[in-house]
This record gives sequence, structure tokens and C-alpha cells, in this order.
Amino acid sequence: MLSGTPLITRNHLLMISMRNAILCVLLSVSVATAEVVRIDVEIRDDVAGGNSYGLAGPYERLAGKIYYEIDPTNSANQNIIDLGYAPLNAQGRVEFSADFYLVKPKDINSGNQTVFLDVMNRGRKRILRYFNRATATDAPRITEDFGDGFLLRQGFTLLYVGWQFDVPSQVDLMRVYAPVATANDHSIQGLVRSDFVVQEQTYDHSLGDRRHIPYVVANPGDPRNTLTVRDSPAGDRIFIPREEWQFGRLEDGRMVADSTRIYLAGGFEPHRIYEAVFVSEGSPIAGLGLAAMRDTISRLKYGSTESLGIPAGAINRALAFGDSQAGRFLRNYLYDGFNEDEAREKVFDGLIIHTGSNARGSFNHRFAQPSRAIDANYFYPGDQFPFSDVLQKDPITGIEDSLLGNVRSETIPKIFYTNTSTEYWRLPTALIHTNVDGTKDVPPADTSRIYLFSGTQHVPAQFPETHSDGLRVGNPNDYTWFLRSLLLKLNDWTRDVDSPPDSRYPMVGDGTLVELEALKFPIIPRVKRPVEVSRAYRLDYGSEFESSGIISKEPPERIGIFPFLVPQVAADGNEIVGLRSPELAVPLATHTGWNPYSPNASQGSYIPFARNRTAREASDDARLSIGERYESREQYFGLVTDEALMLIKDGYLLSEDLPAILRSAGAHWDYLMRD
Amino acid sequence: MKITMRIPSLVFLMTSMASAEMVGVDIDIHEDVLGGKSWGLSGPYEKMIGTMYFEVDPSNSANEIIVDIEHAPTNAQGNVEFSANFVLIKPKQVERGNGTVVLGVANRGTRRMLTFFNHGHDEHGEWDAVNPTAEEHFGDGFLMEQGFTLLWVGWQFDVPLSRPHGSRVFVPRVDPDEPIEGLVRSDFVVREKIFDRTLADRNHVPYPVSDPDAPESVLTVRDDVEDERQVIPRDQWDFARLENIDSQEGIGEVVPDQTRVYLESGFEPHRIYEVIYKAENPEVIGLGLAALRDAVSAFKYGSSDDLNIPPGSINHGIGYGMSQPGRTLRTLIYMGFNEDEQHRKAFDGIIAQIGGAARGSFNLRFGQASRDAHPFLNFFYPTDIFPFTDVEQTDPVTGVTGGMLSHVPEEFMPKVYNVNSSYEYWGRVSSLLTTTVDGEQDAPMLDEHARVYHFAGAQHLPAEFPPTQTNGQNLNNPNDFSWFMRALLVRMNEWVVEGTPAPPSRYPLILDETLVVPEEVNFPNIPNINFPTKTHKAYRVDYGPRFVSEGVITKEPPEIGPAFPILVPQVNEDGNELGGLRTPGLVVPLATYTGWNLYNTEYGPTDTASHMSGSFIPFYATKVEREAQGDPRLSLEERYENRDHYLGLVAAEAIQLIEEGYLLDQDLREILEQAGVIWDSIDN
Repeated sequence: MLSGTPLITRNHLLMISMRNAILCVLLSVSVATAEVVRIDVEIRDDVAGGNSYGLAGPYERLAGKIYYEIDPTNSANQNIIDLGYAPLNAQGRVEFSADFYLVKPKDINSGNQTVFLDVMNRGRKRILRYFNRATATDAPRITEDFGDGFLLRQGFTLLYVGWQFDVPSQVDLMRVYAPVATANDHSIQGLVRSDFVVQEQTYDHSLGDRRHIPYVVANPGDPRNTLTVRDSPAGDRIFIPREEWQFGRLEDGRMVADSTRIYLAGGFEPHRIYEAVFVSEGSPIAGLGLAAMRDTISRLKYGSTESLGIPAGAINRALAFGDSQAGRFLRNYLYDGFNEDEAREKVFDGLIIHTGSNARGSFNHRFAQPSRAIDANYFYPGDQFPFSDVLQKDPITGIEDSLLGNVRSETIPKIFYTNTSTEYWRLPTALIHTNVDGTKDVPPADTSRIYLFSGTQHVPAQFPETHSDGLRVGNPNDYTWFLRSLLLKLNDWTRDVDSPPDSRYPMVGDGTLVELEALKFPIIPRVKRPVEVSRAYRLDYGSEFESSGIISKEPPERIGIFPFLVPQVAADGNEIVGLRSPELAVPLATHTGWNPYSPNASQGSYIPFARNRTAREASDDARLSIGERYESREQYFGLVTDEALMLIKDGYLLSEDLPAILRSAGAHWDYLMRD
Repeated sequence: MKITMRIPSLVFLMTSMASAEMVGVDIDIHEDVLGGKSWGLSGPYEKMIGTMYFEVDPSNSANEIIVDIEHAPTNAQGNVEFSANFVLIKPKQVERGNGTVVLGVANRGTRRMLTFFNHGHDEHGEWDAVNPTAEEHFGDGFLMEQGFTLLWVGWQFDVPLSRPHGSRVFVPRVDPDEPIEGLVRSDFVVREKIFDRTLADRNHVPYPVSDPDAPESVLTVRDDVEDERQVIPRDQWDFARLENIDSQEGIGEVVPDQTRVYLESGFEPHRIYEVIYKAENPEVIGLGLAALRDAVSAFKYGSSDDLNIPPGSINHGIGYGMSQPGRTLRTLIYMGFNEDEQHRKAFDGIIAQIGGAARGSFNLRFGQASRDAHPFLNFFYPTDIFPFTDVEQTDPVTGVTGGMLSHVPEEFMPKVYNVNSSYEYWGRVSSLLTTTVDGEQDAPMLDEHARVYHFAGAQHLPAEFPPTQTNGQNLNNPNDFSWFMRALLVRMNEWVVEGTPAPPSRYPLILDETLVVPEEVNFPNIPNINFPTKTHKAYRVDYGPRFVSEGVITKEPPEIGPAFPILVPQVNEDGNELGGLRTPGLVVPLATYTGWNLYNTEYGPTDTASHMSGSFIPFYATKVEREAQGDPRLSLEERYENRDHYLGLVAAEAIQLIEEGYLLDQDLREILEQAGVIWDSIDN
């Protein structure tokens, strides 16, 4: 055990729980269910200048803070790691608060009775960008902030609740305010690991990820503090002698002590992986972020919040959308059993877990670092088994589990798992629909659907790209049209008025999901397909991790590699299976989820076909040219139209989006065929 | 024969719609639409069918325009009572709707918004189900998803009795000390020889002859509209019907009947018969227009617990009428019915669809509301009557000055669409809507309040695809302009609610030679297709000195003056029209689409444009076929590389129209699917 840290056992935790349970009996019942105890509204005003969004009418925004008190003895809260170490108020409850931002119809009864929660990504709002085609902003207010108004015209109530405690200190980024785990009046200590790669030589670096608020080193002189360097993720770590580095920063050429930064005398070299492990103290109870989300939704659905202009019964469904980190958050939320509130009621009715790949994250354990991703950062909690909805056995560990294993069947939400091609290349995303050794397909639960947006990158690139380096051009294949339709389908599904469109993803069984070596990517001049990918491992964080959320082994030990499968492609290099946008099905280019020429792992590639046969032959491009594929722009346009009509019929696109989809296809042709 | 007015139970009545002249309702049917199915944000709808009761004060200036109201019976309060049946389809929580009531003006009793806007179907007929209950009756739910409250209120008293559930108004007859007498004229053309015939148009309730033996009753016959009438000797015909007939021989029992005319030798097909007779004490038919006015005012300014309409929940009213009801709405506005008894604006928007440049017999003594004016059906009734344009003009022949909207005070001025198909140019002198009376120039438009849209290459109402042949020599015209109407209805609502002007008018112009005299139309020489040599004409007609001032016709038959100049849309080398709103399928054509057809031998003279139908004349698929047939129009393969090429062109055109506001985003899919279906049918 760590010195100075009191030994806290599961028994101790139980004792605390029992004490609180006794207190609880003495309290009134009404308080017992009041997880949201106060809402401070700091801003309330009209958005979009009072513009009316169709039948939903004008919208308003409310922003401020929500205050919570939860009962640590309630069984719904037993999944919150370290809750037993939270300070209690006089009623024996744990207090915390979170920022909120609400965009709702001024007359809530004009809306669609559905609250749509944006699981923000590192404190940033996302859904207006994905669903309304808006330019991202963190305080949406004016008409442009709401893009084409899609979600508003549909009558959704948009909700944002801060869930991450360490988002960068920046205006409009939203956070949860969680107490620090404390035992015997001391904050608990533990190991924290911080790895980083710099793009140019630097002398000091934050201990946190990407401007997030770092954990502080408890005692710079602690002998357990180490710094290593290596050249590849799986390479051997080389210890850097302790005298060459400090907890500090360079200021005016001098090293100044800084408990949140690390300084290397010779400087950090570009493209090498540095990793500091240090003893820290002051671990906020990260899992309260999940509880904040849970309890806010529960209140809107089952209670009434007059201060938000939402009377009882006005909201009766809740959907959530999370992308990337936020998608992993939702997988974590599910797996940790948060879709049930203190009253055992279902919280979310539907989830769109977008680009969450096969992973969870660092969201509900001691000394969690929620921002740490699982590819640019290495070996943080994320790629843990289980991956699929249905029960699987990990052949290496022998453990049997499923992502929904901790969810009571009555509270299982309807789930859409949506991923881009990038997720299949960055992570073993295929594990969400294969067995653990990657040899067999495994269907999702009846309550879930899985969609691959074929030939897309993590977030669609602008089109056309402004810079000229052809090899680095990002992939503009715009899958957000699919998301719009899928959201409405999900909402209908939760209302039992419609069944959702069929899953669309590549499979081992029909050869559309293959090992890297089996990929039949065509020969394209100057384009090198990736021959290796960043692999995911089973990791051992120490014996207390699974049971208590405590990492005792840093760095963790690698105990086996997960299989890695990618979507097979056709002769033009485009993926065969999944949701193929009209522009992919009637292609003018190869669209990939990978881009070895880009330093950004979430970028894909856009590699146009040659214009005509002459140009193609001159460049030895194996792919048929545009001129060989299509007789005219109109014919191309007609083929795109046919594809789009089919996708509408199948429920994957919306009729109302057809004009914009076709216009974009026309612009694409004009761009490539311009003089 | 006479429909008796329902006597309302007075105590019950006075409860609802207190502020309006609508004094009460009886509800016979009240049920959820489709079991409470939810229509997007509008939520579930409910349907009510019943009767509305009205009372109007004959001395109120807003009612003085009602012809013969001074002769109507009054109740103890001195008010004239009448009632109308209604159908109401509204969001159960009306606040969830869009706050606009669309009042559908029924056509001869038939309601049409569900079939036309929603593409609904009723197995019993081509129009809305009389009591819509099935999924297919509501079509794709377009109007519901938009949140409209739909209301139909009867306005025509003489709807055929064969339509017992048709929209109908129940109005009193005049009740003067001395009977009011007047002339009634009834003309008709039969398709096969018959011996007796109703005095009314198309099975409507006729005005009975007051004295069957009166010597001044006259029956004439002629072969062409402008031919001289030949009087049929009085002893050869009678007001009677034939019973127990042997139809071949015309032998049967002649039974006196004040509502029918009988000819001993039988009426010959394709000849124009005309009977003129006296009737007495007519219904006060103008109360039908007051019913429309007061119903929409009651919805906008009142409230009704019975109809589940809280105050302030309906703020705008749009009147929609197709064909005859389009003329009804033009008449309503022209005569000043958009001002209610409390001097408020009744309709905020008026959509007069395929009503031509015309009005009708809707507020006249002995008015026959069903009588219209077609090339070979219903002649010289007060239909195509001056003025025609929204702005004021002077008829150089009569010297009379007037405009359709120019005299409407600003506070009662609605936004107005006049929307017509090509048929109205060929069969309904629609060009008068946009030209000077002499036909020499384009007339100015009242852009602030009004729009004129022409659906190029379309017939009165689009035919189903694949089209059939009915009264014409060619297949009927399936050019489907209902997609335009869906968008234009939404645009009208935006105009009246938000003040966003509707997209610009689109119609053929004299200025750019897209509107020309019929002789100048460059129609291609297509084998076996006859181009019409005669178009429908409209004349300056004199109905006697009391017509304009009092609504009383004293001259029957009326005196016919010079015809108005008639212009029609110019066409391109395919025979397709150049001006107006052109559907993607017309711009990227697979056929020639015309607003005219010519009667086939069964229906009328084969040189005359047939009523309400246009033509669909497909191109040949291949050059070989076309050349073998001598068709000058390029074949499909000469125009399009393949189906995809064609579809791409259609899509591009449709997107353009969406951007301009004439089509809706959400409809593009079906528009393109329809285009694909037409291609497949011709290419095979």
C-alpha cells in the first residue's frame, strides 16, 4: 500500500453505507428521492431572435448550475467508485453540482416530449454540429448557431449537463463539480500516469492531457515518481535518470518548480513517447459525472422542474448522443449500470453511441483522466472486455461478460452503435460484433443496431479542402445525413411506433470483415495503404481495479493482444458493406478511414479517380476513371438519385434531406471536373 | 324535394362561439382520427361531423350584400337563421397545430383536401371519403403534419341528393307577402337519346317550375353555341317525366313533374337544348357565402368548448377552393364577404385553384351554383364575367370599370392566389386573369397581395398514372401539379402568418410571347393528333338592368355581346408550354402534355375541346419508331443517354424549383419516383 494512505477496505465502505442507511430512515421520504435539490438559472433568454421553428415554435435557452444530493446507501449509487470516501452533509448525503445548458421550446408542449442530451466531448457541445450542420459553438444563441434548425424543428429539447470534472479552464466549457475522495480528513493518494508525444522539441509539458486540469504531484521527491521514454507503444521503456527531470516548467530560461508540469533538462524530443508515473492526491469522485447525467434526466422525465419551464409530464422520453470520447462515456455509463435511477426507473430510452468504437474509458475510477483517449494516449483504461451486447467469453482470461451485463432488462435502452471507418482502423471496433478472438460474427441485442458509415472518417472533412497537399486531404464523405434519419428512427423506436432500420456492418462470415493482410486495396499511385495499425491489449491495472476502481499497477501490464479486423473494399478501394452514402455508392473517389500521411489519427483520405482514361493510364491508377464510369454529369446525378431514393426507402436518409444530398453530389462532380 | 331546415334547440345553442354570428353546433360524430395516431409535432387529430347554426342581422351592412336577405324570414330577434353541415379535422390539442384553419370550400358537396393535398384515396369515389376513417383516406398526412386545422362548411344548398353526406347549407326561402317570381334557364347536352331530364345541372336540386302550363315557358334546340335557337313547339314537350319506359321506343307513362322536362321525340345526343321557365320564392343562396365567412371568423375570433377550440388557438384562416369553389372564393372576395358583421377580416388567405378568371352564380336570385362554363357544357351563365384582373380595368367595349381586388379595403384584404392549369386557358379563358381586357397587353399585378401561378402543360386536375382516355381523343394528362400546391399552401401560410411573401407569380406573358392567340401556337404536327381549332369563348353578356345592382336576372336567354379576346400559352417544338410553373417532368419531358383534348365521338363535337381534360402524348422510345410514324418530336433515345441521365436531369430541375420555393424538400423523393415510373412505362 501507499504510505500515508489509510487502508480502506470494502468492509469499511459497507460500514459507512450502513451508517448512512440508518440516517436515511430518519429522513423524510420526499427528500430521499430528490437527487436534484436545486437549480440556479443564471441565463434565460430567447434564442435565434425568437424565430419560430415550425410547429415547435420559438426556443429559449436556460443555463446555470444544478445541485445534487445523493444517498450513498442507495443501491443505484453503489456503482460510483469512491462514493464511500465522499464528504457527507448533515443528512448523510453526498453533495455535488454541474453546469447545465438547456435549449427548449418556449412552450414545452409544442415540442416532441423528448429530451435529447448531448454528452459533451471534453466539455464541448456537439449535437448542433452533427445534426443541425451548424458551426460548432459552446454557447449557442443566435440563429446561425443552430444551423439549419433540424433538431428544433423536430421539437427536441436539447440538454447539456457537465459530467467531466477536469475540462480545460475555458469560457463555456461545461463541467461537473465533484468532491475529492477523502479518508480520515486526508485526501486519498494514488498513482497517476501521464504520457505524451511532442511534435517539436519542448522542455516542459503538462501532466494533464490536452490542456485539461492535471493532477498534482503529491511529493516531488517521492521515489516512486518515474519518467521513461520509448519509440513505439509496445517498445521497451527506458528510464530517464531522476536528476535529468523535475516537476517544473521553464520560465525565462530557468526551471521553476510546478507540481502540474514536468521538465526535462535536455528537452523532450519529437515523436518519442514519454511517460511519467507519479504519486498524486486529490482524486475527484469522477463517477458523480455519470450520476449528474442520470439524475438530471430522471428529474425531467419523472419529476417536474418549474424553474426550467418543464412541468410534470411534459418530457416523457430521453435520448442521448455521444461521439468519440463521449461515445465511450455512454458505453461506460451503460456497463456501469447507470441507466437506472435511485427509484429503479429507466433513465435513457435511447442512445446513439457514435464513434465510441469498442471502448469505454477513464470515467469512473480513482484518479481518472477522462480526456485520455486510447490511441493517441497509450494503455489508459478503455479497451477492456466486454465489447458486445451479448455474453462472450474471453478465451485468454476465461471471463464471461457483456456490455449490458449490469443493466436490468427493464432499463435497457434502445441503442444505435454508429462508427466510421476510422474507428475500425484505429481500434478493434469490430469486437462489438465479433467474438473475442475475432473468428465469428456476433449479432447485437434485439434492442440494439450497429451501423458502419462506410468510407468515412471520424468527423467528415470540409469539402473541398483548402490546402493543396493531395495526400493529406481529409475524407469529406458526409455521414451526418444518416445520423439525422437515425435519430428520428430511434425516437420512433422508443415510442414503439416504428421498428428501426436493419443493422449494417461488415461480417467475418461473408468475407466483408477481414484481417489487415486480406485487404484488397487497389494500386493507386503515391498512395500507400497502412500495413500496420495501433493494436489493443488486455491490460492488468492491478488486483483492485475491477473491484474498486483503483489502479495499483502503473504502467499496466500487457497480457494479450486483441484481434484486429477491418472492412473489406471493392476494386475502387471503397468499402463494400455498411451504410454507403450515395456519393460512396456512386463514387468519384476512393474514400478511406485511414490516412498514413496525416499526423491526425482521426483523419481519413479522399483520393479522386482520374478524370478520364488517358489521365488514368498516364498515372498507372488501377481504378476506372470518372469518364469510364459515367457518360455524363446527368447520368452520374441520376445514379446518385437512385441510391439516395433507396436509402430513404430503407429509412437511412430523410426525404427532406434529399435536395441537399443531391446538391452536394453535384458540387462534388463539378469540383472534380472543373477546368 | 325541398330540404327542410333543421330547427335548432335554442337553449343549447347560445353557449358557444359567442362572439361570432355562428351561434351553435350540433355534433353527430366525434372521434379520434385513426385511433389517436400521432402526426409529428401536431400530435393526434380528432374529427367532428355535425351542423353549425348561424344567425345574421339583415340590417348589418356586412349582410346587405346578400341578395334577397330583406325577404328572408327572421326570428324574434329580427335575425335570419340558417345552418350548414360541417366536417372538422383538427389537432386534439389545437395549440399543437399551426394556428391556421384551412376552410375547404366543397365542390358540389364533395370535399377534396385530403385527396388532393394528402394524396388520400377513398374506395367509393375520387374525392375525400364522406366520413374519413381509414388510413388511406388520410393519405400521407401532409396537412396534419403541417398542423393545419381542416374545416369544411356547407355553402351550397342544392347539392345533389345523391350526396346525402355532401357539404350543404340549409338556407330559408324568401318569404315575401307577394311571391317573388323569376326566370330560370336550364341548358343541357345529352350523350345518348333520352326522353326526360332534370331542370338542374348534374343532378342538383332544381328550381321547380311554378306554373307548368304557363305559356311563356320555352324549349329551344341548336347545334352549336352561337347558332340560332330553334323553338320546339310547346305541344311536343312538357314539365314531366317518363315512367315505366321502354327505353328504345320511348314508350312509357308521362307523369307531370315540376322539376323535369320531357320531349316527346326524345332529346338527341350532342345538341344543345335550353328550357326557360318561371319559378318562385327562391332560397337565399348568398347565405352560403355568409356561412363560410362566419365560420372562419368564429374560429379565428371566438372559441368553442363544443369544438374543443380555446380562445386564441386559431389565428389565421385560409380559404381553399378547387374549380367551382375557386370561383366561389373569387366571388366571396369580390362581393365584400371578407368583412364580417363585426367588421373584421374573415379570410387571411384565399387559394382559388383552377377557377379561371371567373366567378359564379353564388349570390343571385335563382342562382344555380353548379352552372359553370365549358366549351360544350353550360352556356352563358354568369361565370366568365367582368372584372377578371385583380387591378382595376375598363372594358373598352362596355365602358365598365372594375377590378377583382382593387375595391377591397386594406383591412379586409386577404392574400390571394389564383392558380390555374393550361386547361383553364383553353377551356376557361384564363388569360383574362392577367391581360388587359382588349388582350393586347399584360395587366399589372397586385404583387403586395396577390399571386398568379400557371401550371404549364396541365389539365384541370392531374390524371392518375397510367392515364386513361375518357371524354377526349387522347389519353388524359397526368402532369401532377399537386406537388406545387403543397408547397404553395405552405408558402401561403408563411405569408399570412409571418409576412414572408410567397414566391413570385409565374404565368405566360404577352410581352415575351409565351402567351399568344391560338392561331399562333406552334404546335408540332404529330401524327393522329388534332390540334383544337375552336377554343372556349367568353362573351360580354347582358342579363338585364338589375343584374349587377340587385343580383336579379331579367333577361333569359341573356343577350350576347362581343367575345373577349382569348390567349393561350405558346409551346416549344415538343408541344410543351414555355411559360408558367413547369413541373420537372415537363421541363425534362417524356411526352407532350397539353391542357386541351378534343371530344371523342361519344362525348361531343370532335373539333371542340373536351371539358376538363388535357392530353398526354408520349414520345417514341427510339428514333426508328418515331421516323416510321412520322413524329417530328425527338424520341427518348435521342434525348437521353439512359434512365439515369433522364433522372439526373429531372432531379436537377426539381432542386431548382425547391430553391425557388415552388416545391418542398420533403416531396422531392416522390417526385423523382413518379418520374422514374413514367420513364419505365414509356421505355418498355
